[in-house]
Amino acid sequence: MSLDEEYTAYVSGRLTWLRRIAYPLCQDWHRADDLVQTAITRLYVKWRQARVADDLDAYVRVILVRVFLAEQRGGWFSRVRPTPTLPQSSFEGNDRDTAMDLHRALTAVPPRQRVTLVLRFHCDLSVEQTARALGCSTGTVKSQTARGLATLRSILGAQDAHLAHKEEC
Amino acid sequence: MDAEHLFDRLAHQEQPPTSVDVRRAIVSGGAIRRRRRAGAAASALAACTAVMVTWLVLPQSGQRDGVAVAVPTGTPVTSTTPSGPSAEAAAEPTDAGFEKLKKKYPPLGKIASMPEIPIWMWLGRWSAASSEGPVLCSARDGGGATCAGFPPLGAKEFARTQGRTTGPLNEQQVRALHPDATARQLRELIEEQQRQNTLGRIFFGIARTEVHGITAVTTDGREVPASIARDAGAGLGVWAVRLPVGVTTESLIVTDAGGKTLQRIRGG
Repeated sequence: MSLDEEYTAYVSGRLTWLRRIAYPLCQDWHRADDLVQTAITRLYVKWRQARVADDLDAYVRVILVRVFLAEQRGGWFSRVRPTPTLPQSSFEGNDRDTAMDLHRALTAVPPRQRVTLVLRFHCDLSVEQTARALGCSTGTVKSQTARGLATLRSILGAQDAHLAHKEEC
Repeated sequence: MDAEHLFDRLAHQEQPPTSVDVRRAIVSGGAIRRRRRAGAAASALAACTAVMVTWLVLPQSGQRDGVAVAVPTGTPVTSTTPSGPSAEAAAEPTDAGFEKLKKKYPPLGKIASMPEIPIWMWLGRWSAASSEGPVLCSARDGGGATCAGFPPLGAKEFARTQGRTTGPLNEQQVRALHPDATARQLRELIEEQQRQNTLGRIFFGIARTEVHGITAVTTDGREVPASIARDAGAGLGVWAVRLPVGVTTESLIVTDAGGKTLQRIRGG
């Protein structure tokens, strides 16, 4: 199997997984696709080194996270692309409101904290693994996690209270 | 609020059709790889250029102009007469750069004078306290001087190219390398480069003492003998060859006293 075939086989099998990580980071499937596309392009450039990595999945995940963080630093105009259609929502009925609340709450969490939360709770990484992926100390991971969760709680909690108040009226 | 539950909800969403294209990633990634390779080649070229530029030291006030040096007319490429080794200090360059480097890296042997190139070369000592190997120094009258360390010759190596001159730099490149130079100095530097360039391209390097001849074979089949100064110090000799403008070397043939080929250096 040639290197390209090996790469294609690996990436094809991991696309869904990568999109599931990218989506909580940006809350937009189109942007998630862009992130994944950029990440797998970078992976191809480094494929010779990456294929012999101890944990290839972790390697790719780090690329994806770095692509996301680098894009965040690039400015709003580089992240927003006008599209003729509205973003597709995969939630139905009552779930749609909940999903919108979740999206709004996650969007309010700063990118670095959001990445920490995604790695910790979505990818189920330990504090040490998250620290390695982000290239920071475990103390930083803990503080970022705490702050991110506090932000989420404050927003979701406020919305719950707001909704409760409306229902009472 | 349970964070894991929150993210689980996101994870179990149904994914819309993806627009990610693996083939596109391969094409884009391949283009990036090619650009990086080209960038690395450009860096190597810049390093060669830097070697050339170190020769072009700024003219010092009160010194004679480099143009005044007696430079023989270009040796015909078809010449078969080897330029004889002349490991002796003849009229030395008068550049301040040459004197400075000679003092900083004192010659281990004699300074090899090769007026037919024209170039002066010697193997210098790093410093009295240093255990480092020798450095190869070269100087051209009016063209500055340079010294650089080099790894020892390998078991199967009899000679090696350690430096070569490149084409002239444009005004912008010269300005970038000499930001403090005045307009007049820049003009002089550029003129000096153009003058040096008309003399052709010079390759120079080191050789073992058993090497008696080095011949540059050009891509069009012509042979240009190099000048060699054997035993310039540290058990090594030095050599240099000048090729006319526009001529490219295919290889350098290294031979012993009997004319037997010891080594062939591809590309020079």
